[in-house]
Formats: sequence, structure tokens, C-alpha cells
Amino acid sequence: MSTVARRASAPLALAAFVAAAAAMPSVLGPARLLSMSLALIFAVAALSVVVITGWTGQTSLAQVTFMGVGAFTLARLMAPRVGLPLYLAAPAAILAAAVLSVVIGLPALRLRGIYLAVVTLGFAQVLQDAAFNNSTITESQNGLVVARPVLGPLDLSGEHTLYYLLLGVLVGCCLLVAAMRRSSLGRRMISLRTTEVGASVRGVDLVSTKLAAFSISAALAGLAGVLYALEIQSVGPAPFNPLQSIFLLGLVVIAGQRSIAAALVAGILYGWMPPELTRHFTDSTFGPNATNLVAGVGLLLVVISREQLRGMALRLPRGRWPWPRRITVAPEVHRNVPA
Amino acid sequence: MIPVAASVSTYATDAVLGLIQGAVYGLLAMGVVAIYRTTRTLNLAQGGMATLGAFSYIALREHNVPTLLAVVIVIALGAAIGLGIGQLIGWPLRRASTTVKLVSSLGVLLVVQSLVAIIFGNVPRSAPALVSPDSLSLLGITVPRDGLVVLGIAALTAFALNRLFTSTRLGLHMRAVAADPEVAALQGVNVRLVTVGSWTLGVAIALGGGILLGPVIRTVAPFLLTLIALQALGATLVGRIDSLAGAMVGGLILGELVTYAQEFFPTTQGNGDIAVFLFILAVLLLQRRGGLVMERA
Repeated sequence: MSTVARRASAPLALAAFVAAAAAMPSVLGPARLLSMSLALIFAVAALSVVVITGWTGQTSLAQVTFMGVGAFTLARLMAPRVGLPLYLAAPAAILAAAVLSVVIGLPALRLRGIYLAVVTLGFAQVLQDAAFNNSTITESQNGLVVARPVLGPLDLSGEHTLYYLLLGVLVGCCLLVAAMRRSSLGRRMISLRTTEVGASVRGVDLVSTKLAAFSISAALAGLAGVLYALEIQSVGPAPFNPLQSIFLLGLVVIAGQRSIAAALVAGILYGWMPPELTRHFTDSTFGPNATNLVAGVGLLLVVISREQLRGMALRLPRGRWPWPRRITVAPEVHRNVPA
Repeated sequence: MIPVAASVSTYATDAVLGLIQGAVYGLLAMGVVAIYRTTRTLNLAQGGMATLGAFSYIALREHNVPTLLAVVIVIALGAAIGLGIGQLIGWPLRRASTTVKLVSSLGVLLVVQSLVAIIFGNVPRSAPALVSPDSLSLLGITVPRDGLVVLGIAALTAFALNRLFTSTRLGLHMRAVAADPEVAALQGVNVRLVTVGSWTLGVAIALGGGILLGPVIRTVAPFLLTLIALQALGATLVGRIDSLAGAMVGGLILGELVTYAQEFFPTTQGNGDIAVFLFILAVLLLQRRGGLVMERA
């Protein structure tokens, strides 16, 4: 592919996605349009996974929990007791997610390695048990009601208006994240993912870069939570349980994890797969649980085959095409990386 | 559950109950360490596997399989699953980065969790007694008889694991691979055997730990899995995920913390989880920042 074609391919793909998504309201019925709206929302959440895991190489298992933080904060602030308008409540909700991410990220991110996974798993668990499921904090068992407001010329109570707002926000996030990827921060993130030692030798401050990436990704997830609250109009604990973050991460990895397109694909999978599978398998235990099974098996297949392909690329030229001889040059061993 | 006017004997009882709970957490944590040391895979699915163990044990007992046979079957099942994971996932991913290995364990978690939910349903079940349902009273401390059995089994297993690593040939090979797989391979260590062996051992411990979990927690629910995974992972942090003794110590501390958190803050929702989370944050804050020097087991 020529350089021009390569440069143009990403914007063209995004334009094609937007055109296809924009046509959806006139094609789909209400139930499937809801799936599509959720797909757009979870694409924003998946974008947050691309930033922290795909580009920075840190595993966060609390992205959907940050969505919950955004959704519950918005719902509390917009409830009649506080009564903030959307244009104040939404930034506050996003900020809440970002601030929390700095607080819990700092102890883990100053260390090298996999500690962020443990801390975020704990955070997801604690928030689920102590906050989302706690009726004194969230005010009701069945969930807080969020009324869709009128935002300037936009009346968000119309399904189609809200759908196009979701699409607009998603496109804005994609452009923003793409700009960030090209900025100095983006380059520092990639260099850190490749090798932390090398990055720090080149003068990249590891802790501040990781923290910046983590808080940006939490803010994106918080924004996804705000959109979710507006779409569903009622915020309960169930959609934000710890397993959902793992499910989302799995889908992003399956979709390729390192590009914005991967986030869009993962969002579509997240929005469409569970309802379609439940519709297909009417059995009450198999249907809802099949999504995790599919995601888990798919994740393992993708991870292993990618690793195998990498091995093949190293081995193929050694044999006589098309039958590569198996040559064991060195004993096959682990790449033993310390934590 | 616990009277408001707590006395010394209540606290003493709590200490023993915490010890029993902690021993199980420590055991699961040792399974995590056994896998992590040789393969550098942090097994986030440990809790899910413990849940699988607990549920299969309960199902076997419900079909009137004798206790001892049920225990053997569940542990054998764990070993078989571990063997499969080692061969199909652990070995192909041996050269992958730590992050990729971590993500692969999430895939295992998703599969195990959904299989448990599909096979056993989403309903919590009560665990049958391991030996007997009654309690022992001594010096005002009331402890279930099963708890003491659990404590004994956990101590024995921990001792056996320690002996395995320090004074058997397989243990020596495991430590060699943990130190440097490449050099170990050059010295004639069968790295594949050690990798698969570690997975077999770790998963067998996870399922076996699940059996012990039943009498400690009484009712076993499918959502238990992330919960217990958190305790097991938190416990391993004490020894930087590389020390078996550290994992057991961490497990015992966590057991006490959870029990006393439930004693002192009975009305706070999620009291045990908050205690575990604060413990994890504290351990990470106390750790020195990882330098550029490579750490080896």
C-alpha cells in the first residue's frame, strides 16, 4: 500500500462507519436500534481500553466500573434534590471518574508490571459491593431514574436525536484519541509499552505517563457511563459488575486492541452479542452466560494464534518453501520477564 | 449474627475463625504463586477455579459420593484442567509478554465462570459439612469442628508444597526455571514438563481450596469467584507474588482483617472487600519502587 493510501485508509474507514451508523435509525426497529445505541456507547468505553491496554500496555479491570461511577454521579447530580443541568453534571461525572482513577492508580502505577490489574479488580469489587449495591448511596434498589433533558436546540427525549448525539460524541472521542496518539504523550505511551526500561532511558517519565493514560481512559469510560445513563434512563448496579470490565477487555483484545477501529468493532460486539445470543438461545441459564463463554474462547484463540503466528514468522524462512523444516535453534523457553 | 456487646471471647473466636479463613486464602494464593513463579502468568482465574471446585464437590456430595472419594475426584479434575491449560495455553504463550499472559488468564476466567453458571445455575448452594457439622468449645472459644480440619489440611498442604519446592527434583527444576528458563533448559531441565507441571499443581490447589472454602463460607454462590480471586491475589502481593511463605502469611493476615472488619463494622456494606482493597493499596504503597535490577525467585 502506498503512503497516501495508508494515510487515507483510517479516515475513510471512520467515514464509512459513520455513514453506516447514521443510516441505522431508518433501517432498524426499536429493539435493534437500542443495541446499536449501546454499541456506540460501549465503543467509547472500548476506546478507553485501547488507550490504557492497547497503547500503554497496562491492564485495567475497572473500565466498566468507571462507567458506573460516571453514570451514578450523573444520576445523583441530575436528580431533583441537586438538580444540576446536564452540561454541568456530565463534566462533573467525568471528572469524578478521572479523579478516582488517579487515587487508585498511583500506588500501583509507581511500581512496574501487573499490579494495576490487582488494584483495579479490587476497586471494581469494592465499588460494586459498597457503592453500586448500597441503597443509601444510590438511593434505590431498582436504580436511579435519569430524565433526558433538552440541551439547547436538541430535545434528547427523542430516540433518534439521542442516537445522533451518541454518534457525534463517539466521533469526537475518536478524533480526540487519534490526536492524542500522534502527540508527545501518545509516543511516550507506545515507547513505554514496548519497553519500560528503554523508555525511561530515553527520558520518558514512566509514572506520569501511565497516570495520564489511566486518567484519560477513566475519563473516557466515565463519559461512556454518562451516555449510558442518558440512553437507559435508569441506573442500577447490574451492568457495572466486575465481570463486565473483563468481558469488555476480552472483546477489545479479540478486535485487535491497538487501533481505534478495534474499539468500534468491540463496541459493536458488546452492544449486539448479548441480546442476539439471548434471543437465539432462549434457555434461561445458557443464553445470558453464553456471551462470556464466546468472549473467553475467542480471546484465548486470538491470543494464542497471534503468538503462534509470531513464532512462524521467525521460523518460516529457515525451511524450503512451502514445507518449512522445523529447526530448533535454541531450546524453547519462556521469556521470563520480572514483575 | 454477632452480639453487640462483644467480649474478649468473641474477639478470640474471631481470631481463630479468621485464621481458618486466612489459611484457605493462603492456600489459594500459594497456587497463584506456584503458577506465577515458573510461567510469569498471574492467574486471575484462581477464584473462578476455586468456585468450580466448591460446586463440583457439593454436586458430588449431593449424589451421595463418599467424602474422601469426592475430594479425590475434584482434585483430579483440577489436575486435569491444569494439565489442559498448561498444554494448550501456558506452553504456546511461554514467550509472550506478561500482559498477554495476564489477558490469557482473563480468557480462562470468562470460560470457567460461564461454564460454572451454565452447569450449576446461578443459585447459591449451601456446602455440606466436611467431617461433622457441630462445634467445639474451649476456654469460651467456639469453633466449628470442620474449621479445625480445614486448618489442619491447609497447614499440611502448605508444608508439603514447601517440601516439594525445596527438596524434590521437580521442585529444584521449578526453581531453576523460575530463576532463568533459558539457562535451566541448557542445564537439561525439561521446561515444558515444568511449565505444564506448575499449571497442574496450581489448578489442583485451586479446586482443592474450593472444597475447603465450602465449610468456611457455608453458602457458595457463583459470583463468589472474583471475590475470592481478590483475596488470593492480595495475599500473594506480600511476597511480591514470588514467595510461597509470603503468600501464606498474606492469606492469614487477610483472613484476620476480613473477620475483624465484619466484627467492627457490621453495618457497612462490603466491609470485607473494603478491608482487602485497603490492604492491597497499603502493601503496594509500602513496596519500594521497582528498580531496573531484575528480581529472581
